[in-house]
Amino acid sequence: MTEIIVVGINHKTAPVELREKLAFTESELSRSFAWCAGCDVLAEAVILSTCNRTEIYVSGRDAGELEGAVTAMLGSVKGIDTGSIRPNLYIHTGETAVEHLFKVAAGLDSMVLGETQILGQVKEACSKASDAGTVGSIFHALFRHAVTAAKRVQTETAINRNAASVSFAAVELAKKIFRRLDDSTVLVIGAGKMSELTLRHLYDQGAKKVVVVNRTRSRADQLAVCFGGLSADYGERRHWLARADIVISSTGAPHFVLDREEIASVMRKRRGKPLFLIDIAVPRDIDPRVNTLENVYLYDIDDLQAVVAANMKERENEARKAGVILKEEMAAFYLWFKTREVVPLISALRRKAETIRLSELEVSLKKLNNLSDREKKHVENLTRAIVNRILREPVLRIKEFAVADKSDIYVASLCQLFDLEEEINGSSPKWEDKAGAEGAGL
Amino acid sequence: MTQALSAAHVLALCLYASAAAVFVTDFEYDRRRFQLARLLSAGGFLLLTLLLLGRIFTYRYVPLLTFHETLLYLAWVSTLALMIMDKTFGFKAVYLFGTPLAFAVLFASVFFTPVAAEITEELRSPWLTVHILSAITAYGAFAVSFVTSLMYLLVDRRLKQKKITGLTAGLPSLDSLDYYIYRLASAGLFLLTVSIFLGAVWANNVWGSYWRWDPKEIWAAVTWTLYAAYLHTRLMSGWQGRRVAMLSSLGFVAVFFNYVVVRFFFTGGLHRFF
Repeated sequence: MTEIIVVGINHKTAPVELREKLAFTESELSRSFAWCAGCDVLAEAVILSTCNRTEIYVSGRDAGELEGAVTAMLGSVKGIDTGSIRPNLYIHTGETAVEHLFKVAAGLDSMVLGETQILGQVKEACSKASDAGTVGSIFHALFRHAVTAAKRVQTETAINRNAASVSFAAVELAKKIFRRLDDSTVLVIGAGKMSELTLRHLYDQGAKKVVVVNRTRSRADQLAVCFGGLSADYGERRHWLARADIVISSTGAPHFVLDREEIASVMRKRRGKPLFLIDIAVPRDIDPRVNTLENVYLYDIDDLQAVVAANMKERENEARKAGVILKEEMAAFYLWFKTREVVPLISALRRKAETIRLSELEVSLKKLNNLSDREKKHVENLTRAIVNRILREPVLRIKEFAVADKSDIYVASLCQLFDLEEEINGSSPKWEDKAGAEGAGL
Repeated sequence: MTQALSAAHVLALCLYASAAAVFVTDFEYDRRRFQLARLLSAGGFLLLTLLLLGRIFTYRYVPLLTFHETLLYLAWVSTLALMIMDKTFGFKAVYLFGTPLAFAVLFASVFFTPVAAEITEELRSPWLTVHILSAITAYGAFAVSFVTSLMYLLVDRRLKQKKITGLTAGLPSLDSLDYYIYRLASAGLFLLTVSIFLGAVWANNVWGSYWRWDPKEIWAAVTWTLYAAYLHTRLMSGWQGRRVAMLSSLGFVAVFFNYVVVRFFFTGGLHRFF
């Protein structure tokens, strides 16, 4: 039997100080893979290392041995004594480990539920390990199924449809108002970190016309340059307000920077064209009564956070649907995983039958040398048909029992009945070779 | 044949009802559900097409001469407008509000006799046929423009209330809705202009005068003025936003009044047939 285990820490079990100690650099990754390749116990290994998690997936014959090997590897490569961080570690074995990987890939284990960045990181981790030669057929299939499941979750559920952060929520609202952000002008009042982040998201979504005003002109210049926009003196903000479609306000002013009358006069000039005001300053920059003006949509930081909270609730609902999809894809993986364990048995059985058929055919054909070529062909086809018909049912049954977790008994009894021991060992995986060699040494 | 026609009528009603039900209850924007609903409404549309063609062949005139017939055609042409909005502008959410409306129109036809009109020679005039055809087609465009205005007002309100989850999450942006309203209303206004013009020519041929201040004519003029005012503000002075959306909905109120109220309460006019 092949076991799969995962050893890891994530944002739920460990603080960032610990997570960064366990994060793998490129050179540590390649040293780890080299270490794994030289380890007898480990058949396969994939290391997933992101800022929120470090997880080591390994496969081999025995879960206990695998855990020991991972501990040894962490000690050797990272110089970490896993005993001291045991409370922060989680170790999953078998189906729990597989389920964990599927959840991670689909973003169900992420800090922001349903985020999709992790899927790329999972793919990358697998391909790095694959390049280093520590991915065999099992992990290849396992990760492929996990990625398929995650993609299905992304397309078949709405888990990632709505924004999960304040700045993304602002972008989504902007898209509810304006058809194309390309045509929209963004005015930034107060060049803080938060307004820069929101501007960044808007810019990435196509809003390329940017104007920045700030009390300190140099800071406005800096930010404007980053986005290929214009900067202006703080005093000119009224002038630009009349031209802007989206306003991000984030000044340190203790009072309202924009009042109702000012926006009302701007709106008359805009002829009813909608205006989207994002007030992320605390204390607020824009008089909340502005929202009562027609075609003006004002969102302050609390409003945006409320939008995000509502979205997160929806994500949780969608996560339940995602669980069903993961179950389906896990079942697909296990179908492959379990039947592959009996593949050597089936091919041994087939090989044995084929050997018998060929040798008996040879003997018979020698005796029947007065047959025509056509008749010889018929006899050969006959033998092949008999062998195939006899083996068809057992092969189907073996696969069925493998899925039902009863393969052990059947492998053993079929080996006994047909004397297949040698045939099977001829095609054993890596760790069995090593184990066999050790056994011979003893 | 009449039995086949009423069977098609009932079946089309069932398809429209189920399509509307699936669209309206598809809160989660499930792709497969949407496609199912669209298929159902396409089926209803096809049956309605057959029904209208069937009437043409059975009764030997273009079926626009009774209230029952104009309702059938209005349901048909509204669905056509929905499909055009979907295909050319990718405005899929239009079905959400539009299909229930088309169903309501079709359902209303149940209450009016499907018996064919008694036709006099003057009613056979192609001028008249095109006059009614363009009028009802304009009503269809106005109806879809109206549901789009409702969407605009809904999204506007939800944005103000800061609740954009649920139904509103699947609707297009205010900008897009504004643009769709404009396209539909201008198409409607064009057709209405054609209709009024043809009607005037026909009236002059039959009764010897172009315009008689008949209630239907007055209300057509009111409708025309409202939509022209809408287009003028939208196009010439570049106004948009909530009030403009409301103006276009007001235009539809005039359409409804003219089509339904004038038909039943001002029955004495020259348009008494419809």
